[in-house]
Amino acid sequence: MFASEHSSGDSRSASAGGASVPTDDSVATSRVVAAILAVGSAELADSLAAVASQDHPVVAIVVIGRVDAVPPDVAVHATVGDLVALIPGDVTHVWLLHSDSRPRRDALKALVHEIERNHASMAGSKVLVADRPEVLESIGSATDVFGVPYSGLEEGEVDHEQYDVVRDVAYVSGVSILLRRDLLRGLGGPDPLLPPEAAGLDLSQRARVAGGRVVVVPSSEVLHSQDCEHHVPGWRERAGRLRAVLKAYRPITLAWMAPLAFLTGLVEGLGRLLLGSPTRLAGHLLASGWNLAHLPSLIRARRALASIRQASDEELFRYQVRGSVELRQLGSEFGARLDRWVGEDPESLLERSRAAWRSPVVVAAGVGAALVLAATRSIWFDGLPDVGFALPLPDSAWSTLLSYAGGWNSAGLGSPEPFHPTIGVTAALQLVLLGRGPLTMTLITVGALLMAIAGTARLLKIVGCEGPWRYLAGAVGGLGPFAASLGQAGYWPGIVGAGFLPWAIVGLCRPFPATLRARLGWAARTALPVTLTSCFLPLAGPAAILVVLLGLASGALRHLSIALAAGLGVLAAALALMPWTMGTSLDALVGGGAAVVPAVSWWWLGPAAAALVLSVVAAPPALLPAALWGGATASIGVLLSLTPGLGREPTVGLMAAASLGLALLTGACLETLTRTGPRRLVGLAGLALLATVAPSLVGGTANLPGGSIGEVLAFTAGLAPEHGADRALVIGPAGFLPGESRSIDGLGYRVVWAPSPRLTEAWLPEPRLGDDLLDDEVRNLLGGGRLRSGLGLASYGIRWVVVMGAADVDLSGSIDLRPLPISPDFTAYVNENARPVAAGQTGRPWLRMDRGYSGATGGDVRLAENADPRWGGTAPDTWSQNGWANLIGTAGPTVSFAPQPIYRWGAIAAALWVCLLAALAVYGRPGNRSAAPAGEQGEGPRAPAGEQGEGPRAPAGEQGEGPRAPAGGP
Amino acid sequence: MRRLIGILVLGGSMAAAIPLLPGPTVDVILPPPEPWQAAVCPAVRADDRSVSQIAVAAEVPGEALAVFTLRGSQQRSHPIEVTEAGGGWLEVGSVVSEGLTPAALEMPTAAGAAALLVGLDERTGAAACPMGRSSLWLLPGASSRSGQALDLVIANPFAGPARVAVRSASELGLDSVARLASLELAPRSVAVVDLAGELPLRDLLAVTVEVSDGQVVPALLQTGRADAALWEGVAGRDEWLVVLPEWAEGTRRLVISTDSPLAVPFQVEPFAADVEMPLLPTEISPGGVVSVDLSGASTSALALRVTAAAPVAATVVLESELSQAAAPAAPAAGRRWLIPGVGLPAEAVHRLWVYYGGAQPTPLSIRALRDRGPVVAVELQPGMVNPIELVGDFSPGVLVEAAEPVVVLWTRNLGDTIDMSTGRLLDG
Repeated sequence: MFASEHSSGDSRSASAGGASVPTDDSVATSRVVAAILAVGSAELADSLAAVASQDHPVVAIVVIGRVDAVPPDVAVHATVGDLVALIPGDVTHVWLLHSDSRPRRDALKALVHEIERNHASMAGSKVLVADRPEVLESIGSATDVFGVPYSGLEEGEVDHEQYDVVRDVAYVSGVSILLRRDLLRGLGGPDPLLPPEAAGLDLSQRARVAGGRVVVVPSSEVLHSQDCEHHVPGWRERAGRLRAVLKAYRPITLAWMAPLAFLTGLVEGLGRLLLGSPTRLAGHLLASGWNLAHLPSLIRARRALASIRQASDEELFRYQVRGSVELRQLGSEFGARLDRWVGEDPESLLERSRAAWRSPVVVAAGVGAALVLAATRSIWFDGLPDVGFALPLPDSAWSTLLSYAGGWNSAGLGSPEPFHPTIGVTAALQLVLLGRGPLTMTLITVGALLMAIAGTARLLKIVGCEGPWRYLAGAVGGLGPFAASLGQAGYWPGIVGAGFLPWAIVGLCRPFPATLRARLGWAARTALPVTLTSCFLPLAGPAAILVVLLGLASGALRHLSIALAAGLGVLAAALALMPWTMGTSLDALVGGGAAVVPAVSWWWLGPAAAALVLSVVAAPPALLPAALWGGATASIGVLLSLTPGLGREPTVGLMAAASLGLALLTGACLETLTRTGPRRLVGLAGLALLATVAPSLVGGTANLPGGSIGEVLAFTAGLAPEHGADRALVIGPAGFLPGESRSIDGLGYRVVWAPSPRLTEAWLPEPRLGDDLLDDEVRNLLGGGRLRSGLGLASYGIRWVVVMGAADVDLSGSIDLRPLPISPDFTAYVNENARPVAAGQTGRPWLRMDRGYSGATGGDVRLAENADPRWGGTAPDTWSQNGWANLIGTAGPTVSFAPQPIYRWGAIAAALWVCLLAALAVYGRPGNRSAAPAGEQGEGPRAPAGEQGEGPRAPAGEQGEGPRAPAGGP
Repeated sequence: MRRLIGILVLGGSMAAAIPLLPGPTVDVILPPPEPWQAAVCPAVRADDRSVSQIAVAAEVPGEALAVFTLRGSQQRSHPIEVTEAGGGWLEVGSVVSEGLTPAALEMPTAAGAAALLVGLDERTGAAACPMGRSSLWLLPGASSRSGQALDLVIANPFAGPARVAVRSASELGLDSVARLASLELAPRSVAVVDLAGELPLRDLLAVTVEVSDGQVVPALLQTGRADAALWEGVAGRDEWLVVLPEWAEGTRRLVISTDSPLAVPFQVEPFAADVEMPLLPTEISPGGVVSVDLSGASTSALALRVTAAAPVAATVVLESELSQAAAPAAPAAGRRWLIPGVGLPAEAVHRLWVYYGGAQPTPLSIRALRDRGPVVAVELQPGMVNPIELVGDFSPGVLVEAAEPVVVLWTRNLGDTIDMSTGRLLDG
């Protein structure tokens, strides 16, 4: 069969005009088989004709793949592998060519010439766009270590022969490749699972690993209609690239490259998500999943390559660029976006970069970001201090999410009450970050502070403060005195929520668009920031309404519809906060928990008062509304937070609003810094306000206090029995205790799981029977009336008692609470009468698992959790109440809490609701032409200020005074 | 106009906010200490030569748990049933038998009392087991004269270690023993300090135990040739009420000590006008001790009040050739007294010495703390110490109830020996 093709091919080339005279013997003796890869829906006739007319003769032309019809003298093979087996020994090279390409007459000749001249094993052509032959598509390429191509070509770059030099490259385009027959036999041809571009990369890398040189031959030109790319989804190319590198690297390289590739893709996907391109993240996840699904074939391919491996990974590294190409592109994209925010629109990337770095706005934003980095420097290295509500995340994010959705709330002595929404959103992000709890907490914290800066700057721009100082004013929002108070109170969610709050307001200020699609997007994009903020500050919605109303009253905002939008956001957030909203009473919401109040200091009170008074008296008219808005929000927010009877959530919401208000006031004041006369005083007052962030830079922990409950309780890990450390009773002033605490005459106490309480324990549910009895027990303990205090605590599974914060508690009159010489900073006792939280009738302990307990089968187990029949699991008859606790007849080795359907469905509905909002936000985003007609992209970079919906009133006569006062203000 | 409104609104709100801003700290008020629902008997002895009984009295029935501290920080516990009548007792030798074994008693209620009765060969002693804690224990009334063994027993039955400083004063002034300046007591341990060896030949010795870490309960055990005296430490008070039983066999003394760094003015007043008091100093020297010898005043029972400008302790001491006893004075007068140990053993002569300071006779009932036990009703004569001899089985203690405040002292005569103890005032 092949013999006939051979002769036929030979005759065809002869009849097509004769072969050109070879320049040397080796070229002349090169015998080439052309294999046309049927890709896409391209017609074969053109490529067949182009091959047939080559200056260098081909001994045969074959088609690889499924084709409907071919000339009778052209053989068809399913795969290159099939072809390789049939190629006779006198054939020296195989030319792999896409069916959607048309090589120029001398393309093959050039390839043969250069491959012989350079002693290469594989050569690729210069690929030009078929319908614009002057435009370069590929000229060979480097990659990064993850296999992502880095060609250096710009989009639509014209071929001026600027790259015309034969050179070694990481890979050549799969459109036209000439390679030695023996190499092809060893490699087995292109991987049939891979799409065209990835297949080229794969073949190039394997060729190099097998000891061959891979060169690009610019004198060999191929016109490519790109039909092959239209039929392959982007994620398949991504998956193919990943498969190619997973195939090529040695295990030691894979050990670090594979996880890094996944993380890099994740970061890039999240970054693209922020830029409004959600498909990249999905593509990354799909690509990872696809490779997992094809793991067996990957392992086979690696084994095959190992048998012919000649070169180390270093040979691959030689042709790779440093870092991640995708992250670099992402950074460029962010830079470009920042540029657009600045309002400049340079032509090229280079110009944009230069202009951006020269821009005061970028400098100010950089300084703002540097302040955040300085204020969080300890967090980067050591993670968040586990104090207050900044507790470590549980190990299993998935288990946390299941518990969040109607499972058992393990805080204190447990409760079926739903968790605080912060638990849900952090667990979801932790899941995305592969369960890395410290990284999740760090990213959320730092991200929120950066968001505070960017959001405040955005908001200030909307109200007419467009100068660079607005980025520094944002630092006052995230690191100023009110935010510091939230941090010093240990209320970590407050810090995060305060960071997101400006964006919630920005989201409300979007203009209402004209088309239905855009309106859907508007509604979603209005609701999403409020929803996200509410996950950390459940009363962020009402706080946002207050801020908006004050903005309307001060004249900084003009449209009453913004308040209506805020109402919409509150409703959307209420749905997204399920099941927490289903299980929380209004009383608990308003009055529950300890109020967070500002720490009074003249350090901030003086500058704030001065800035307020000076700005009201002397600020330029264009800036007065913004100053009034900020001042009113700050002062009224603080004032309302002092209302007696308000609990944690409302006071934290008001403090966040006050923090934003102070930042707005700072921004408005700083705008006048370049003025003269009394107005300069306003600017100086703004500078003084800006200085209030200085204390936040000292600790490097985002204002969170020092100390660590994990370090305090670390001793329990070493002394714990085999089944675990059980519970610890921690006593001291509330500020020293992890999360929420209960109080006896002002002295706080609470129960935590030793050795490391988790964020899921931070919020204590409403007291139940066990909690009331424990309150009496702790009262007795503190009263010192009992000889065996430990015995009373034992039934609660309390194995340790720790007295913190120099509380004057003397437990030395007990004969079963043995003091431990751990640290002079706290007093620790071990309960010598302790019993496990869960134990069988014989006292044999049961082990605590993620969402239940496990132990020896048979008999009853007493579970020291607040009594609830759902601990009977699927067999409620096995459950009975044992005092305040549970007694469960065990048929199996585990007991677990049967989820509450109403809360579970509530959580699922909330997740779906958020997904729907996200989808609508993408569907109707302003950048989408069909969603937002020209002139309605309220936040678009080129939209005149007057079309952005909001802007301060600038009297006609004073337009010149305000820095970049919006021209379109009514 | 907008500026004016802005100034008014914002200035007003800021001005209003400033005074409302709370301070950064929240005051913590610890709950008041609860009455300790436990007692500690520091000098329990049970071995071949010693017997001990622990008697428990309580207002409510239930179960008291005696936790004995054994060698090597081991513990052994044993319940003591408190009957409906409110009493119970334990023969310690039936539970442990290894010499000195301090006992911590978990009482069914804080309104209770416990007493330790010790027999050492033919010698006996009795003392109340303290139900309170103190960081400064005073134990006046001891003597290390020739022929007397004097042991300071410091019990730490608790789970944590303790550190104490032992100081003493005598007729020679303040004593200084470097070894006693800082004593470490391991958890669940007992320390015995041989004071007769450390501070020999003191006719008058007062001991102070200051606790710097943890908790301890001390007692003094003074052993003579024919009898022993056992008494517990007390926390200092400004006022004490003292009942002295009739005593014709030897000396009868009131010993007062203080740990104050300053001289403490004090006064001892007899409640009866016809008592001839010896000449007394007007103050106690810093950290010193004063002995009031009342042997010459009268042999009949009498009552006194001790008042001082600083906390002091007062101990009644009875001594003779064949007997000796000591007991702290009572902190106050009251209508209801629990006195555990009365009636143990049955062959002893048990007397109550009840001082009533009213103007008219008043009724008094004495009820045995055992089911179907005897009840005695007497009428107290005013302005004097009323001796009441209990005939019958009143074990393991009595509840004394009077219509008017009284002060009670219990004495036990077994052969030639004598022991005494003050009961627990319930309504003081």
